[in-house]
Amino acid sequence: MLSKIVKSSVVVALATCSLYAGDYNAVAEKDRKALIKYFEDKFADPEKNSMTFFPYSTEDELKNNIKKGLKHHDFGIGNYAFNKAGVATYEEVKEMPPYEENIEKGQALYEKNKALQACFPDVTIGGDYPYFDEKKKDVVTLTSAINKCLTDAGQEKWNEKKGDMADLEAYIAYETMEAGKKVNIKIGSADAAAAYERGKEYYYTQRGYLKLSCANCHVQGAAQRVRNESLSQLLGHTTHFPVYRLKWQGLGTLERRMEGCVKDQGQNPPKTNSKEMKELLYFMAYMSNGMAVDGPDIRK
Amino acid sequence: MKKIYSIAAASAVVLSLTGCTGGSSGSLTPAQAYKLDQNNVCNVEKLGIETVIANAKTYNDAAIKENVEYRRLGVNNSDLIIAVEAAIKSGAKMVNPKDFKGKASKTKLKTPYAAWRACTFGLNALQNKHEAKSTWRAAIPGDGYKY
Repeated sequence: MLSKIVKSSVVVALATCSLYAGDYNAVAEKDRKALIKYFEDKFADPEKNSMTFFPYSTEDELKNNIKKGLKHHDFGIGNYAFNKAGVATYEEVKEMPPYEENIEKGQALYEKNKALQACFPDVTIGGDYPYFDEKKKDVVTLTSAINKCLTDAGQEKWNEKKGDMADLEAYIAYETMEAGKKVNIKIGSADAAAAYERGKEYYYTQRGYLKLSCANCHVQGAAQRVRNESLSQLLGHTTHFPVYRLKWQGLGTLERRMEGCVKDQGQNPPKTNSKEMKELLYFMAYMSNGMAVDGPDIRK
Repeated sequence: MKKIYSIAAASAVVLSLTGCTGGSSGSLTPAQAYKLDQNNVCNVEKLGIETVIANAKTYNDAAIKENVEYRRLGVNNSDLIIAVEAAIKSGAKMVNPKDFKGKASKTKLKTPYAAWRACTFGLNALQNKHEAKSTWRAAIPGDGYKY
């Protein structure tokens, strides 16, 4: 009798826990699904829905340069998902990608550093970051985890934007992609949900002297032109970092790119390891949950 | 007349900083800044450049605390304020602020204009922050954004 009571209590407790665990990401899941629907609707038929989604695009642009009928997983490659003109060049460059050397450098860094091997015995973890550290009540990005690993082992931390950090992240992204893994961000507590919410607020808040939010360009503005470039979409943004940017003439981390974006809005950007930056990346990565990790990649 | 404007503007800033407008003491809050009119508090002709740059510093310090300081063409607003203060001391008609890396920037502005811009940039950063608290959800698909 007693064992039955204990067993049923355990079952009830586990069921309750799992129910609550599911609840913490309820808002984030709603946001993610609504975002997928928005982009699928936007790219269902750009010509037909131009007044709703592309009020500033020309008929020629919508007819000849924007693909239609895109679905969720098509959005994993940035603006090359829809940009007909750009995709040809992109595919050519991908045949002999300039970041191959970086992947090799990253692998060499990993193999000669025992601390890194101890901290990250499995390198197919690119889709699991950022995560929320329940003990420290803080978001941990892959960049911050690598630097913590190095400093804990008495080594100097790396530049969070490029160099060794980007090389190692390229190796991790590549191995994650090769393993066929997907973005898998978890929100398992009220604190984690609050961090997600702050990241979301940062993303959707208009800032800087241009009074732009990230969403102005990468949600409502996605696929519209800025000079000769088509703006990429939030959905899938974090799946392919680090990226080799032609503008940088090298590889850079997601933090480096986001710092540039906030600067473009006309504001002094948050530090790459700041709470604001980490929570922003946490939100962005959650939006790409379930999408294939596909890094590193190349961008203009 | 100019003195009266200066005293009035300085009093407004002091009152807002001392909490007489109902906000927290110590630093101007975005909500307090939202009530200010930049045409009054950043008006170089009416207030004089010293008062305007003092206001700019107050607003920008608060903007830095809120992590919303403006940066234009590589120049942080705090570096623009430093350049204007130096120009006031030296009597220079133009300012050439340092960029965020501490190097000479390409920005060259007339000193009174630079003071006005530093002041409005500091104030707008706070006002935007306040305004965004009630507008950010309007851009979220599935929430405030309808299409």
